[in-house]
Amino acid sequence: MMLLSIDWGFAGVVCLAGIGTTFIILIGLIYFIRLLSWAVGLKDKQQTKETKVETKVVEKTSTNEHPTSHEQAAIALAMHLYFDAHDEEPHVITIEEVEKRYSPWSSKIYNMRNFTK
Amino acid sequence: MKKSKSNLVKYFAFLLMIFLVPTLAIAGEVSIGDKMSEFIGSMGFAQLEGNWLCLVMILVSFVLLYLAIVKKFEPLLLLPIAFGMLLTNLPGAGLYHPELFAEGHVHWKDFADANNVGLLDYLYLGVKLGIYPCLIFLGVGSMTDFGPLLANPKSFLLGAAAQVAIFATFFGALALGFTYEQAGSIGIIGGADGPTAIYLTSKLAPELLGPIAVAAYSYMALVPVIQPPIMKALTTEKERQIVMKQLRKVSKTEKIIFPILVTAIIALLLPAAAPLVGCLMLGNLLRESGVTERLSKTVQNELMNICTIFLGISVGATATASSFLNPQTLGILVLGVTAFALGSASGVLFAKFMNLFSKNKINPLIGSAGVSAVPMAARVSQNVGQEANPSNFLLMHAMGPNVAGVIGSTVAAGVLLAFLG
Repeated sequence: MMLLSIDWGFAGVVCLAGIGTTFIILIGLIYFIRLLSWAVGLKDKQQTKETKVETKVVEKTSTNEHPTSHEQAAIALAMHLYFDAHDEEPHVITIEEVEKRYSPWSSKIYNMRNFTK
Repeated sequence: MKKSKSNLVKYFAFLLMIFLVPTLAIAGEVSIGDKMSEFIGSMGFAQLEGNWLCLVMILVSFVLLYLAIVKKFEPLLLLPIAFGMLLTNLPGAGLYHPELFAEGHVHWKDFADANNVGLLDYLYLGVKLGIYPCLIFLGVGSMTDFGPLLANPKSFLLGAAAQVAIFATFFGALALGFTYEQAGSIGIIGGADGPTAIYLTSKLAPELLGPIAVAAYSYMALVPVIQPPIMKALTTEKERQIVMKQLRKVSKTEKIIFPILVTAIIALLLPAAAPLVGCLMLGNLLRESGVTERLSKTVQNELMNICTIFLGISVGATATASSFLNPQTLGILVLGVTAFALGSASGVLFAKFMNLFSKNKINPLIGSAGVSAVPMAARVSQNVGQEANPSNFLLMHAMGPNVAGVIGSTVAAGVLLAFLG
């Protein structure tokens, strides 16, 4: 009798609509994520292409105008020998001192675990 | 020596006079006996007479406290729930008054009389108005990494499949004689998502809030016990050994755009789910944007913990003897565990179904993680998978359906709220 009093048609509609909506929204999100990753991937590809072009340009100019790494090393050694130059350091260690203002709120003296003596 | 003793007696007699003389003077007007009996009558012990169901509820709260402290069953929530249950059932304490929230409405006029409003009544307003579950979702979102889901969007299907249990349980609850609203609230236990269950129940059937919260959180704690037998029964050894392809790396841009657009899409399609989805995704955006680290930390820790305490204690307060000790509670507990089992089973079966069509095979064990219970359900998938193949790491693959389950259960709750609210 109790079972007959329930509107099973309405219950069925709720179930079908519920399952249907859940699946449709989540399947929609699958396609949305794919679209998103595709769009982001496309943007990344464009960026990498641009950087590749930039590096190529830099490489080209470097080969034309600047000495090679071997030549740079040879120049550096020659200058070092000619000037007899060393990097002199003062041997003074400098540590910046940070002054903290006293505050009872951050004081270690006052805490909740102090026992009364 | 004798002299000092007599002095002491004199002083004592003097003090006695100071206190006794005024008392005797007003004794004629006020009866001390009446006052004493009134005081004794106001004690909780005196009110226990003819109210033995309160004692049963206090014992139930002790059992839940034991489960939370000793057995460590979701202690962060079960402990405040059990303590709220203890407080509300102490006779004479007057901390919670169900009549203020009778017939599903807040009787604001009665709140004006501060003498008849308890502390838990004020705290319960946060549940009744749907504030705490949403704020907890803010924290959940802030702690969730949607990366595995974005790397493998098919996981959404497993998250959706596990929600079938919610609607199957809805039918079961109707057959057991619950109303549509109550059946919807019971069904949502199958989503294994505590805040969603509490949010929906507070809107549809607040009278069942106590038993449903206890059932939902107890079963979530029992995920490692409930799920493995079902997972093993529905899969072969060979299926459990399937090694899945490594997930791709997800860019930061995707992680930032995802919460913004998901909120917009779901809120436009299903406005009833907007509060939960909105808070979940806002929390996630705070995490992924990388510019609101302070807010993200606050939401993950302080806000989440404060809301958990308030939510737990006020939900526990609704478990009064009259609302908890009845056959309905037993029905809710049975339907709850059925919903949980069905959710796990439907996820596993749907993963097997997907394997019929996909080139890259899915380990069906990750399907059971489609019930939310983050991250416990994913850990169970990992453990059961490693029993079959110790070199198999399913945790990150299972996190996809796991977080998809959170979104799925909020969508399902939104549908139920739209139809039954």
